[in-house]
Amino acid sequence: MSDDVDALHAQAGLDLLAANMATLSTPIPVYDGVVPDGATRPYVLVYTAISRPRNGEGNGLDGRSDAVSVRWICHCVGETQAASRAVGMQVRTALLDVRPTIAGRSCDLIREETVLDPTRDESTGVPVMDQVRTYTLATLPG
Amino acid sequence: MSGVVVEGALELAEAWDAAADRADEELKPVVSKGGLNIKKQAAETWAGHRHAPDLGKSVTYDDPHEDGPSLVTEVGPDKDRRQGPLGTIYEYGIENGTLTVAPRPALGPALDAEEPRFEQAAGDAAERLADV
Repeated sequence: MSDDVDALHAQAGLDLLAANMATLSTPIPVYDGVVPDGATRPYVLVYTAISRPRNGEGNGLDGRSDAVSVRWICHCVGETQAASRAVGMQVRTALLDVRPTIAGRSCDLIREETVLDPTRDESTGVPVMDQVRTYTLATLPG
Repeated sequence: MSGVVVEGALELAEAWDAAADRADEELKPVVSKGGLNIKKQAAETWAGHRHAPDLGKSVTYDDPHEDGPSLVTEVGPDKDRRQGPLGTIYEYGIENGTLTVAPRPALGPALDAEEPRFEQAAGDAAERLADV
């Protein structure tokens, strides 16, 4: 038996990111888990983790795992620290405190969980700065 | 002279002061237990990874300490322990243009699982503080 609950949750964040980036004069690509060959910086690479926490807030007395927790781990990549920060700012604008619409779900606001220091790599001769920003969302049936 | 007379305000204020003094005593065990639960679940999630077999064992948590008005415990891989420095890569992944590693988060999910239990326990502690 299959359902599309996980896909809908993951796509909610990806759609918000894509919608925001499309409004920019130079759109920033948003990649879902894989950076295509030949991609140029800056870009956002998103990994999505979806779980049903045990004892999730809002689970009913029947013990069924109705609460869903989504975590979007966003790698904000640029060639300088300033570029990486600018990508991170757009990611924050797209996600922070937004209440997405997911069919069949009652959604909380998207929260910012972690922002890491940018990491730097110059092994290719061109510096690459990667700032990781993690955003989370809790949903219940409704 | 007409007006409102309030009786017992001083006693109430003293009672809240006394409760505030006991707050650390009631809440530190709650925060500590929460940190321990997160540490245990994260360690279990990362245990046995083929390329980082010791990463789970590197996860530690601190005794709760005050940080301004908050009680804080820090949970995560200890970079001084074997394979602890890999924790950030496993939790968030890496993307540097030449190396792309997908994340295998353990701390975030452990935090999600613990949050409702922690809130319940903290609420119970607050009730005990208010009742006495």
